[in-house]
Amino acid sequence: MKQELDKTEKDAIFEKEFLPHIDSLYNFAIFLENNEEIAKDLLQETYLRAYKFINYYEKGTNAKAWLIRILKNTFINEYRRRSKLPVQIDFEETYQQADEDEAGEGTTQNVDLRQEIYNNLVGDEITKAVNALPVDYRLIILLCDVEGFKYDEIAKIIDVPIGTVRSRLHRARNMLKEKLKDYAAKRGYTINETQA
Amino acid sequence: MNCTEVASRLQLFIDEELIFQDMESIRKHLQVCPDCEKRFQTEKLFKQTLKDKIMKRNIESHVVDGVKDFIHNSSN
Repeated sequence: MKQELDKTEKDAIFEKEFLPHIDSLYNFAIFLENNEEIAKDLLQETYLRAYKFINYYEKGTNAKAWLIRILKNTFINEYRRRSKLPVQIDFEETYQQADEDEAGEGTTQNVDLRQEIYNNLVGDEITKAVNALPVDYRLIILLCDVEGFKYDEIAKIIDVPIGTVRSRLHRARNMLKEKLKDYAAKRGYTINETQA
Repeated sequence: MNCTEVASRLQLFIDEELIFQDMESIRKHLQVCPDCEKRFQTEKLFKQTLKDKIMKRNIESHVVDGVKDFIHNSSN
């Protein structure tokens, strides 16, 4: 619901509720853009939009989720403009999968790696593997596994049903494990892959 | 719950997205099933490894100042 705020109130919300999340937003922008300079532009644009639309923000609610939603929308719009393509290039396949999984917990196939492999992976390998994922899968891994958002919060941030969050996350994790498996293999580890 | 049912819900269990009764059923199963317990520990480690090891950058103060200036200049 829109409220009317004067400049002092806007500035107070901006300082107290928006700016404390700038570190997380900055890292999100870097992960989405894969380019630090473009990420800074995205960060600026996100905060500018947040300030412009601050009347729609409900004071004391989840500011971080609200800001990430703006950042995601800004990124998608810019991505669409740059690529001159419809935005759904990564999404079609996912929606099909979501339909399949919509009815239940229903995950059918898991990639399993041994615990020692995770213990021996370094941050650089994990970061590269996440960066190599298609953007919508990268986004959901960051939201759930790095930032710790719940599925219903993620659904609101990325504008999809919870069933899609569930299935997209499952696929994203499996894709990530496949990439980590490659790193592990290069280090000479034996891979144990099973089906559930 | 049997092993197949637990496996299909393990992601939701680790993310704490199941209803209380299902969370409890899986906890009980894990106490008596070493195979599922091992799988659970591995999946939990995967999630924890991502959170702990992914590289994050601290934002430099001049970037924060740049954002503030940008807003100040754009909104006046």
